[in-house]
Amino acid sequence: MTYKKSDQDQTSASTKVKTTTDLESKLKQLAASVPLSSIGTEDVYVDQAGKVGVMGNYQTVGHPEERKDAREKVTGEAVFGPDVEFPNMLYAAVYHSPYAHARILSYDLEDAKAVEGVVCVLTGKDVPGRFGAFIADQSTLAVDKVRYNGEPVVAIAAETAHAAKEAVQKVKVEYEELEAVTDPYEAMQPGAPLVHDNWSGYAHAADFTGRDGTNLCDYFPLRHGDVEKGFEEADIVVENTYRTAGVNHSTIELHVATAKFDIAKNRLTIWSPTQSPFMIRKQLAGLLGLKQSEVRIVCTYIGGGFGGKYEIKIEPIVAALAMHCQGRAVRLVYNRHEDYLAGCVRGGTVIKIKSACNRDGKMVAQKIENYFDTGAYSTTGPRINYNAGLAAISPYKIPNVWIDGYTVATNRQITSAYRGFGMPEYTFAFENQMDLLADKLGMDPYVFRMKNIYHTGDVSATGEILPEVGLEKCFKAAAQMIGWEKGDWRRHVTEDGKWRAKGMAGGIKLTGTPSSSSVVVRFNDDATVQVSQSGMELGQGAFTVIPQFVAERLGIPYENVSVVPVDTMYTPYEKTTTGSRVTFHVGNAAVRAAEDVIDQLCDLCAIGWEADRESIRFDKGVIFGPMGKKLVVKDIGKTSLMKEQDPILGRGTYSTSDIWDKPDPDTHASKKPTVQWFWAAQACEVEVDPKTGKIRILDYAAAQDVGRAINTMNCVQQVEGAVVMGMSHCMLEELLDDEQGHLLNGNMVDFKVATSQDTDFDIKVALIENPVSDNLYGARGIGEPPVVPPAAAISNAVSRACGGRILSIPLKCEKVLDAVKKGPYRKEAE
Amino acid sequence: MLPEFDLLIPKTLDEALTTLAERGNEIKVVAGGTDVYVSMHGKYQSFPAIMDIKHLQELKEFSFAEGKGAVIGALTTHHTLDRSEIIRAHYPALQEGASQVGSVQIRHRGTIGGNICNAVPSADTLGPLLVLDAKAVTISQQGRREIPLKDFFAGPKRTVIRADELLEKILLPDNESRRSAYIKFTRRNAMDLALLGASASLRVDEDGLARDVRISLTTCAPTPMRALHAEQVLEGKIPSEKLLKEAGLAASREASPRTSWRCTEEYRRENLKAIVPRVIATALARAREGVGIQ
Amino acid sequence: MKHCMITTKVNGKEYVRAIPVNMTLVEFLRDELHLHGTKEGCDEGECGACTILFDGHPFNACLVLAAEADGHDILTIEGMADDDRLHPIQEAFLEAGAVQCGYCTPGMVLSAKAVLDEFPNPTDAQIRTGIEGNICRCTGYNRIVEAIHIAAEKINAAG
Repeated sequence: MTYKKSDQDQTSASTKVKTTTDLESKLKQLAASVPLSSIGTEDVYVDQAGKVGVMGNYQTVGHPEERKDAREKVTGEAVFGPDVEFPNMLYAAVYHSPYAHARILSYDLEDAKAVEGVVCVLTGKDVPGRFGAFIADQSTLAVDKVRYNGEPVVAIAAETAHAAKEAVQKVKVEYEELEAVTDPYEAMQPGAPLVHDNWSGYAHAADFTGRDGTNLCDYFPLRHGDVEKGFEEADIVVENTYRTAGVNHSTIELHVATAKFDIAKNRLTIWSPTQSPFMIRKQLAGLLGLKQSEVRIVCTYIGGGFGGKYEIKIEPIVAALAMHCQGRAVRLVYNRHEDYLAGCVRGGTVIKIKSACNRDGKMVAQKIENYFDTGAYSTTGPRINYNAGLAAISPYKIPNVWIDGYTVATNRQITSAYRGFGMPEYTFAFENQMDLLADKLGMDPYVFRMKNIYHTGDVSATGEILPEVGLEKCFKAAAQMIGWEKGDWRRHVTEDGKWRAKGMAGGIKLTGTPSSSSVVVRFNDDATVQVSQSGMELGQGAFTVIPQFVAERLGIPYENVSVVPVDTMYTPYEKTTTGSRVTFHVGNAAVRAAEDVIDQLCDLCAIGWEADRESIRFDKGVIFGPMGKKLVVKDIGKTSLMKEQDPILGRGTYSTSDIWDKPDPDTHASKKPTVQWFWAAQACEVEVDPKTGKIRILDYAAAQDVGRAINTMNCVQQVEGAVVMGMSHCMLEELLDDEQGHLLNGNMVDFKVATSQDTDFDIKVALIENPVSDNLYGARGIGEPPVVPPAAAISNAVSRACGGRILSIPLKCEKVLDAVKKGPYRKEAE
Repeated sequence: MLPEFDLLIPKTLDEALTTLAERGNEIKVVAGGTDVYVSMHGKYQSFPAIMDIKHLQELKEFSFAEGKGAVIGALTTHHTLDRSEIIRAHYPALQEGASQVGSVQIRHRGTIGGNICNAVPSADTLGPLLVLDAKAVTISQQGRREIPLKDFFAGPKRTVIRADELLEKILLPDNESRRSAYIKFTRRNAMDLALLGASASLRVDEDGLARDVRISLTTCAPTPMRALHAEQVLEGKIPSEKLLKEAGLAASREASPRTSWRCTEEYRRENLKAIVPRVIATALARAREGVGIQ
Repeated sequence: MKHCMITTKVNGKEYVRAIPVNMTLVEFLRDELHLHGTKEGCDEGECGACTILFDGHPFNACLVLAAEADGHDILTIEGMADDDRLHPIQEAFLEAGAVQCGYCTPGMVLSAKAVLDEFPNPTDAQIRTGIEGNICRCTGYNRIVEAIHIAAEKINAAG
């Protein structure tokens, strides 16, 4: 594959920019320290300090085209969930459970109902039915029991937001408090309080693998080889228990939905920043006894998703209120505290892992038990267990791998999809193990990893022959950019007594399979194109890359093509916007739709030119016919070829159920568990203050296999943002409960996310070109993969600097100081 | 979302004091609102009346005179203190405190008076003010009271200010050759509460001995506190690295931090051993060179 | 008083309104004036999504009473562009790739303006401090910092 080199110097450059003269000197500095040629310049594109270049040899694909949504976002015109308003609209508010686990004994709603302006008050019995993606265990409002601090119990609609809030203050509910369980490992022990009494009493979407009478709602086993034999025979064995804290998405846009029930048409309309309009449509229809065509989901721009707006959340509450409010629109916006309580989270994990290698540096065996906290309701938990379980085979070729994933219910906030979908947690564990093994071998951790990474054509631990594995290039690029070969990855002390080291980690993740996408392309007679699809824009650039696919295939300018707003009444089915799937899947469907358009354009030319259809061919935006006849597609408006003919309507679908090899339920062996793997490698340099435990990141390198970037700017944006998000999880974020399961830090002072002052370090980005064969332009997903390695890379560096392994994140200064004081270098810190 | 309340906006100090004398017990005084409104939003808690005192020009004095020192009106914002040449040159610890309150938006609104009257043990201006020998001046219909700031705090979020009083201004003596510094230790690098705060002020006499040593700690006790034992370690001695370390140990011992879900007592004591010597060293360097913040 | 009349200038246009005193400035802008560009993110001054310029000062509008706007000048995101021409800061955000989900963007642009109004040639540190009160979960901030540098160049070039 060739790629167009940019005009600037071929240097590896950071994205941190000062003034123009600073830029130039920075480029020179970096050119001196990290020559690209040793990575393999033909396949590697590197971000050029602020100016993003081109990958590939296409007209629009591979270019950093301006985002389609950026202008309206920068002017404030873009419509987000809370911006939806209607005349005569009602405002909703929710009364949430103050307890983590309690039986509801009685309600006293008289004072709440008496507040002036209150129109409707609902409790659990007013909204019967349960929902859940895998286990239908959740009700719209609590029935009989509350299972987490924050569970919605009473919903109120009123003339003003203030009246609704006043009414919530006046709700009185009597509870009998029950013992709460807040740790997933503890929740698996005999005698632990039961969050749900009877799992099999609920409806299930798939085979239930949990256990009644326990908090286990889903179990994932992966078996490859014989780990026990492996451990017996291996030269070096390391065993540890790692923990990751629960964290909240903290999207700046809160959870919000507006609902309106049209009585005459029996149609419910919901305006919501949802990543999964069709999933929600189906669930709401089932829950409310409506047909799918009677439920309309209109998607507003998503002000931050990361998976937190993937599943049904407050839509059922507003829908229920709207159906009681005589056709008036009802809007519910959670405030920040409510979002922490009743939004969703990435649940904490307890990961027991045993890893073994031989003295020659080859991995022999790895056994992992992961206790995932899915919170009070199962929701996406089983899916996380499954997707992450498959990818927990790690990026390393290990002949004996056993994985046991346990999705465990606790009385904590509900776990939902969150960028990385279980892989940042697993990766933290197994990448720390890799460093520990390397240290015992006395081997460079980079060399150790390179001895074990998967390559194209290797057979994975599920029995799949792995295609297009970009790991080697990713690791080489990351190592180069961080200057690993200098040897200063080893712990060293600065003149002013600070401790430094470098760390690295690989990244592996898959995209959920099977799934399906559909696209309809309307071709106007001025060669502008409207693409109807339901991949949602949550900042990752979906609304930009899909037009790029279509424009490229049709050979018309990018400016001519845009997507229409996503609305289940008009746009065709899309499974969901998660799993880093939109670019690849919707891209494939879009290309097919574009090819359908090309076919129809050729038909029109045959008619217009009175030529044989077989004599018509299309190439790069031009249609050729016999006798020198030619049509430049973008100029079709100057001809009468479309006049009074069949309108051009292109249709394309793409699904992966035919290529998917359903894994064996007991071993999860599969020759094709996913249509697409993601590969990454990252490295960083850190400095630890051994007297306070404060960590400073000095430098960061992220190499991401993008297949081929459809939009290079989008790709760089995703990598940078994901690195910072991963860093924030690793160093700052942690949801804290008291012993009774009450959330202690549900606000933005006490739940800390990274600010601009926490990202004052270079993030060098390399986008590795490694085209995927199943996509016309070779695109691989990118939304999540770069968030998989940061916690592992940073913690590896920090633990190395301290001389002691820290087994949990976040890496709070107390833990770092503790590692220093218990480590071999403690005397130096005195 | 704020609950309902009665809003009073007095145009003159006289009007304000008259109202406070009548019904001060039911009135919450608000300046920048960056503490009060946050609390009211968060707890949906109201007061019968809110008195917005931002129009009172009498609380906006800001002056410095050699030999006399500084007069800082209670309504002086953190942003003003942060940017003030006088504060940077003469009272650098106060600039370091004010410049790290909340975020830039908070600093444009929040006032030093609010920071003092809100009286949280972690407040960023309080440690610096203590080492600068600040005096609070309150005013009521009955007249003024001048209260050394070290006597101003009665407990967490409690001061000695009466319901009929307003905080009028802060007086800082001319520190002459004394210089100061403040270290705010936080988990993240902006918009954070001090997990620990240490301030120091001192001068060096012609024999190189440390004099007029003041050391204060925040988030280490129910109120901001002076570390008197740590001060004694240094007072009248050559401030060697060893001595600074000893002062740190003394401060760590005399502080009374507590364990909460935010942080353990053990860690706070350990951390003090590091940041107290560091803040003394910074103040010392400034004192030796006769400089503040450039 | 529980209600009051205010006369305030928002983006150069004068508004006279009767409002309840417990209405915050962000509620006034969004619900009363239907200017939805200013966002609500936390009601505690911790996210910066509601940042506006009040007589040129960057404030969190969630912590300002609408009543306080009486006699003052407010600038919101809707006032940044000049009819059809984007403000150089907005252009710079587009060029630098500083926009992803866009929810923090209005507040971020206003904070950027406050930085550049005070420091026409800001250093990295001055920029990072100037936007430290605006949380972004998408970009990692570095492109926003770059955008503000680019905006400074554009504004200085225009003279």
